Amino acid sequence: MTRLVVSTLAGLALAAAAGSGIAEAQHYKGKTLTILINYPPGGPNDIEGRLIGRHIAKHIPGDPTIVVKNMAGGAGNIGINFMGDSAPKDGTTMAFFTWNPLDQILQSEGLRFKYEQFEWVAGVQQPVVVYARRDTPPGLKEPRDILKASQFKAGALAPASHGTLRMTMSLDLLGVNYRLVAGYKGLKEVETAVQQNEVQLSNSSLPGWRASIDPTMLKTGIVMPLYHFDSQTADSRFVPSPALPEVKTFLQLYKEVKGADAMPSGPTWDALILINSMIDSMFRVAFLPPGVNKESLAILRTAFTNVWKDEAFMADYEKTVRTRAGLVVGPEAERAVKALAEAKPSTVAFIRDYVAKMERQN
Amino acid sequence: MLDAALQGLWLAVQWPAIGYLALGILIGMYFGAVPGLSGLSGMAILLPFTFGMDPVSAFAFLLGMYAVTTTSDSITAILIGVPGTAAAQATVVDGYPMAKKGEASRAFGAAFTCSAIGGVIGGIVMGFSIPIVQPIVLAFAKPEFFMLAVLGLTMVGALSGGSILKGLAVATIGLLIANVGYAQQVAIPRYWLGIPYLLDGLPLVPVVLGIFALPELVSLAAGKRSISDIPRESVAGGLMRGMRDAIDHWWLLLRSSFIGIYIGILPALGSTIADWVAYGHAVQSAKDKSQFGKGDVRGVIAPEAANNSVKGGELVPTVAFGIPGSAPMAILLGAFLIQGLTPGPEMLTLKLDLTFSMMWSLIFANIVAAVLLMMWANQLQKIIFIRGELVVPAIAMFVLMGAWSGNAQLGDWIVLIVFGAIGVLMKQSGWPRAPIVLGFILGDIMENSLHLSLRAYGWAWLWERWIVVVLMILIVVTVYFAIRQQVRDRRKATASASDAGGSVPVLSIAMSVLVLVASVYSIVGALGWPDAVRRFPILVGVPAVLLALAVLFRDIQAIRAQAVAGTVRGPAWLGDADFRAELRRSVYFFGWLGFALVLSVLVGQLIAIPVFIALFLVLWGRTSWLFAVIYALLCAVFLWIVFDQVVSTNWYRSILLG
Repeated sequence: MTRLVVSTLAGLALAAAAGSGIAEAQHYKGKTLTILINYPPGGPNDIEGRLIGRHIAKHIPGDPTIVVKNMAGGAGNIGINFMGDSAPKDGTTMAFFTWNPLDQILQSEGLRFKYEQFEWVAGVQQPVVVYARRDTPPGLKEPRDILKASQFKAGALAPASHGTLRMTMSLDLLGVNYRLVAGYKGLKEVETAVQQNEVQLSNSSLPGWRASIDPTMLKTGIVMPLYHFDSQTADSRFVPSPALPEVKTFLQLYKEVKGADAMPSGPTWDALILINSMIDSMFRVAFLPPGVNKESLAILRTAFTNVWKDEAFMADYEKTVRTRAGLVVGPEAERAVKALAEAKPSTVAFIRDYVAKMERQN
Repeated sequence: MLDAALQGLWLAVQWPAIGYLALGILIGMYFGAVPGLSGLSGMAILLPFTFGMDPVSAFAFLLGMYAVTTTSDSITAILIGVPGTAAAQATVVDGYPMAKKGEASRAFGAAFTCSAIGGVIGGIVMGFSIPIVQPIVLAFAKPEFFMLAVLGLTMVGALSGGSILKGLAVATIGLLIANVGYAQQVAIPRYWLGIPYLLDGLPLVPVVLGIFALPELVSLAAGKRSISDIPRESVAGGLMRGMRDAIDHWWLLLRSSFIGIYIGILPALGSTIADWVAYGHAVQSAKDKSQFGKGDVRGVIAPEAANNSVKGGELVPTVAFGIPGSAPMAILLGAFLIQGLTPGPEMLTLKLDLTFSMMWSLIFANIVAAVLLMMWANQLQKIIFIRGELVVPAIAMFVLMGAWSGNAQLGDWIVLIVFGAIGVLMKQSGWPRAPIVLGFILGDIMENSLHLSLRAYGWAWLWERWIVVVLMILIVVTVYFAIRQQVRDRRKATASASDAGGSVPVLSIAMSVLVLVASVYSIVGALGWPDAVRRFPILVGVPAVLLALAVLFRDIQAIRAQAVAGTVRGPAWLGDADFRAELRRSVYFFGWLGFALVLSVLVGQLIAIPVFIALFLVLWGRTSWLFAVIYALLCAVFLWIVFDQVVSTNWYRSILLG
């Protein structure tokens, strides 16, 4: 509810990057780069943004001062709209946001811009894990047992959020018999509900899985991971996420249940692939306002690439997020946005109907 | 365990941890004392600085800061009626009237003592209860949260004013205004009147400042007097008196501390309601309720104990399960991760000494802050004896900047002014203001818990879960005793206009009509929505309509009675001449606020606010130009340092200066 004012991180590690061109070095010299976060302070988006803010200055020629500000609200859309219509186009304001491409698909009133209008710097990958209580009747010994369970409750955020959709669509494809309890306000809240046995199944992002569910519910034997979502490579192959070697992928489980040659198809699968291709490759996104100068874009893309190679940053990042997330930069980031812009009308229509139906029922 | 406690003490007093603790305390006192800043903004700002620290220092720094914001936030709550942070809202209700009676020092004495004792109790309970608290936290699922919220609201609604009907009606209105903006389940915007700003819902801080702070500011500006109604010479009892009050009411102090801890332990309720529940409890348990709202020291003791002890409570689920009890605790969770620590069993076994060092940090911080503030209290309290018109501009600056911290949008100021007008109306017509704010805070939690309870359990949660049943019984008991008490009071008092609020029935009728229109509008607007979106507004709207009609009926009766008695004639319907003059000046004052707003749009706040201050001093306060200009310049410097340099506020981008 509140957008909080936030301090300058002035005076942090300001060392010039050697070997950069003089013009480049002049570009950010003596300037302030504001990193905008579209969620309130303290959340995972904010923590990651501030981490990047601490380390990125030394990878930008000209040592700009880095300021991190929060512009929360409208389910993230206030910040996105600000980047579209009010942010200065001189490269001094960069978004580090949690995006929601579903808003564009569902034509939400709150979003006034199309994501493809922005200039994309980078995206941070983050796989999602679906997990369930082991004591879900009649009891789970391995992930495939979830098909035997009947009428358990699956907890989720709002029906129109991508985590909810991916979870329900994948459960539908597997043919699982569940009842959706949607409307929790954060993944932490859903976790608590699982712990209280209010719901028996849910999903979480990788940091939540590693930092919070692992110690409190996995190690203690309360829950087990069922699957994570396969990511699609540029040549359309499905591969597991390297960050979760111990957890099956959705397709692995699907084949285990339906036969080794089985492959899901139909509109639900198409929709799931579309959402996966956007969210899995970029959970958090960094972009600049439409029409920003090309120089800033190039400098910041390089800065992201380099900060991801920076061991000091990675050590901090791994300590905080509990995993080394992958990064997509520049053209690769644009590919996910293109998938959104060029989504098949029939798939878009299917997702809209699916959400509308879920909202009516829930 | 005692061993670990001593090891924790040893860790906490090591250098540099103890140094960071001291620094944290000073920063926290500052963040608490300035309205618009809070423990939440403090946490967000300090967190990045803990990256390089060792765990003990990091937590000493953060907790030292966080522990004391609710000690220093009573300064402005008592002195000028503006809560320093959201947790001091309930302190305003009796703290500010105490200042008006010239008893600011006494209120300080009580507030700081209770903050310290409450905080220390919170810390101790936190340290020793973490290992045993799991069943309590896990037993409170969505159905229990819903009922607990209903209980809290009923207590405050039924007890915080002279009239149960009005209290409950106001509470329902609070719940209804919480529905403004996008619904939680389906992205359908509710009651947004076509204004995009409202899609996000009403912001808390501007609403609270509007309802509580602006009406006090208005009467201070309009009333041609100082905050204290009596001169300094005739003030009896200072700091020591307040400390004695706290000790005399030790049993209330203890109960309130435990209420705070308990609310803190329950995740998601957060500290913004602990002060209210404790306040409600103080009123409920008091034999003589007549002085509450007029400067009863017990109305300061209860919330101040609870809003410090709640923090110990909040730490319990955070440390023990990684379930944050509030937004600042969610940030603290970030600090755990940064330190490579895992909340949960590890903190109770391998890291138990670190857990106890947190307890000691809380304890030290609470004591040190209270002692420091006691030493400064005598200087601080002088402002209540200064002529009102001279302090009004500075307070107005705090109120405006506090509201601006909501979203940093012009809408924040408009919300402030609109709710300020409603607050003035409520104050002048004897409607209690506390329940509207509590309802507003709880509305979201209640709607969400109700929805999820129904999805997860059907209706069976109403009778199958024993905690829910116990809470329902408590609700019935609360209402029963409140009604009985009121009936007794009425028998004692003769047929005066007590139920109409004691002041002006016509204004009270205006308020009833407003409540009626709002609740009918909320029901009618909801009819076309899907079930999950309309359920809550209708469930609340129907009782709101009935309550509004009942109050309206009473008010009309009261006017009739006065008409029959011949006490009301002609313009006297709007009160006596003095009252009408004050009302007129109130309207002018809103004109001044509108001027500040327009000027900000034109030239930006950093210029507009000082200009507003200078002009107000000269034209309204009749001061000299020299005095006004110096005053305004000091305010400008303060604005620039605090809100621009320390926290980088997003200022309004003005039309003329960009």
